Amino acid sequence: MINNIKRPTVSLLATDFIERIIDEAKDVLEKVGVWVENGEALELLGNGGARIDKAKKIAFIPKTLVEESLKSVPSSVKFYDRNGNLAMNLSGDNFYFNSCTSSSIWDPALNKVREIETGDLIDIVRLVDALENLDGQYPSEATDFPKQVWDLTKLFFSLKYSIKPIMSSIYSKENFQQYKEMLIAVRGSGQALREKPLSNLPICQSPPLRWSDLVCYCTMRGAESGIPVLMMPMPMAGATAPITMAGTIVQHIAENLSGVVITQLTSRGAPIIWSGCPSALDMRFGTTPFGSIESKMISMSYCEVAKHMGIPTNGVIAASDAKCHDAQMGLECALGTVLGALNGINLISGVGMLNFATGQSLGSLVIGNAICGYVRWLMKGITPRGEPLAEDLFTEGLYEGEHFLLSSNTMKWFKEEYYYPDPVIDRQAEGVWTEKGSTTAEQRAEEEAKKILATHQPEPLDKDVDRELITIMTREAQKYGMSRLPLP
Amino acid sequence: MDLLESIKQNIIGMDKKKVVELTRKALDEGIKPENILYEALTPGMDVVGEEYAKGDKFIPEMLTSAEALRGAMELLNPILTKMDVPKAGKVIMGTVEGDIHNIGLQIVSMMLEGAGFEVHNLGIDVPAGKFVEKVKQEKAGIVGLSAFLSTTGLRFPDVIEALQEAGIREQVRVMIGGAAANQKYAETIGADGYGANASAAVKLARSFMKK
Repeated sequence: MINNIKRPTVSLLATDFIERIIDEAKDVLEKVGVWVENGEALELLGNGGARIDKAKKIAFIPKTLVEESLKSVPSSVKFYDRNGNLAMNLSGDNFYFNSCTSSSIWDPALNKVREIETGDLIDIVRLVDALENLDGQYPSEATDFPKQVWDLTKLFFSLKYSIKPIMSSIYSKENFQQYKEMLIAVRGSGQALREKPLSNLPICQSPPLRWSDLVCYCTMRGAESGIPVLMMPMPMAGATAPITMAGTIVQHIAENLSGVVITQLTSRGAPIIWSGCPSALDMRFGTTPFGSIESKMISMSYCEVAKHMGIPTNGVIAASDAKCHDAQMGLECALGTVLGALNGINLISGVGMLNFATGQSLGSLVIGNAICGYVRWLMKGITPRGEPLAEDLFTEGLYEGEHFLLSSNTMKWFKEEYYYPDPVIDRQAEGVWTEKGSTTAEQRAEEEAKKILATHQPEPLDKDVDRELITIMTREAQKYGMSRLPLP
Repeated sequence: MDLLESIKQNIIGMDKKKVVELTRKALDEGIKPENILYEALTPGMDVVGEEYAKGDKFIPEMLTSAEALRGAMELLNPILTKMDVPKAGKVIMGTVEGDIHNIGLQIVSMMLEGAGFEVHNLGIDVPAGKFVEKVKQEKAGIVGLSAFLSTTGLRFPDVIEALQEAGIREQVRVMIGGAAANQKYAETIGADGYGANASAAVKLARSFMKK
């Protein structure tokens, strides 16, 4: 009897191709090196065994150092929700869905893209908190705050209005301390935060092969604090990376391997997530499409390479470049999430993301959530149930009634075997659909978002913690001229 | 086909070697350098720009044409400078301090050169003071600032302030671009314009020259 369920998979690279890519990436690090703007990081690499050209700020990293560093990278990274319960275990073929960060939002009422302000950010965070298929917050910035603290608003509002784990970066060295302080306010201590990570810290190397001062700093501070560092270079094939996909992948692997070395030299065993946000420059418009099929293929490839080395992965593979939640958004998000899950990417990010990673809408999050529901179901595969499998066919008197609606098997399995999506997916009879206003998926998604926001109350934050977070955020906002937080 | 037309066609055809060779020949035949610039090179680049806008040319092709033009300018520049022939204008370009993003800066600089501007590209991570210094030194009419990061977008106003403090804000037009910029932000900080892409930057720079 067959009882094992096949996990659906798809991969692009054969094992010997993966090994060739890794070898060449190591070659790049040894012969071409990486440009490192930060003196402390340069010294760290030098002490670790890299050859340093001080004048040019280039570190040539020997293969032995890369290999040594790889040995101490944890093969799993766990995230715990605000209450301390395990929410994600990024390892093996596990997969989770993450929302998307952006600086702007598409407003269907105005029919235009506008900046995200506090009210929007709270709506987005609350909506993501409510959407059942989104496992994590990848928050945006509240642009009505002083620009110097935009990064802190991402973390602040996510902690305040949601219990889901977070993926939140910082934009200045000064703000790392405040970022950590907020996380510790929730967890209670630095040690508790180390034991139960709540947010990962995305850092973006600057392709080709460059580490800015800020990015070095965040990487080292994150690594020594036990905050999982998510390495996310954004190469543009043909502009800041070689034009071929294979060439871009080699560069990407080299950039992240140099990150492996920096994190592990900073703190052996520091948790990291292997990520990226690649695109191929669209040679017609000079834009960086993250929704393109090639972007998704490059993401899949670098994740396959990371899996080969046993490193947890993230891909911003669900993104679309549509400006609103239209058909293009649906198809690019669906393609990315399904490929990402099949490919075994641990964290599938960018669900709802629009407009070259600068946009989203409430509707795109709702549609993205519906897509993730489908993908989750797909990934369950097909389970052999019962013996025989089609037991109802063997029932006596099959031809008398000729239907299975009253079968005990139907009652037993109809919910477990089939997915019933939220109303954004229309499966009503045409007459009913017409009667209800002949709505499109876009309109239904907007309605659904409104409905959720009218009713969903996130679990309230502990009063003392809330007070502490508000104190930190107010203190930082005041430094740059905002006397009172624009809280509802 | 006369020589100038042939140069123009080779700009469109992206053949740097031919463009340089024909430009040298034109100079040898006594054709005025400003005629080569304004009757062959720039019109050639205009055609390329139009074809790009229509979707018939792609960025690498457009930049290869710009590179061919730059080859010719290497021959023309020393003569033009001596003759004091006015060019389209001088532009000081750079990515602001704290930002090491390069690609947009490079593309816009090449396209501006292609449009006949004299471009001084200061590169990446450029402090405000350096822009001021170069504007003074070159008596430039336009400053083009690039920033990619939300945080370094904050440096645009630093440069504008530095120009004000140096008392030369009125003599230059400031244009901003890159992921950290948009039209609204340009207006907020008192920049003179925003270019969403390289062609927009060229249009903007040209509009500055007309005023």
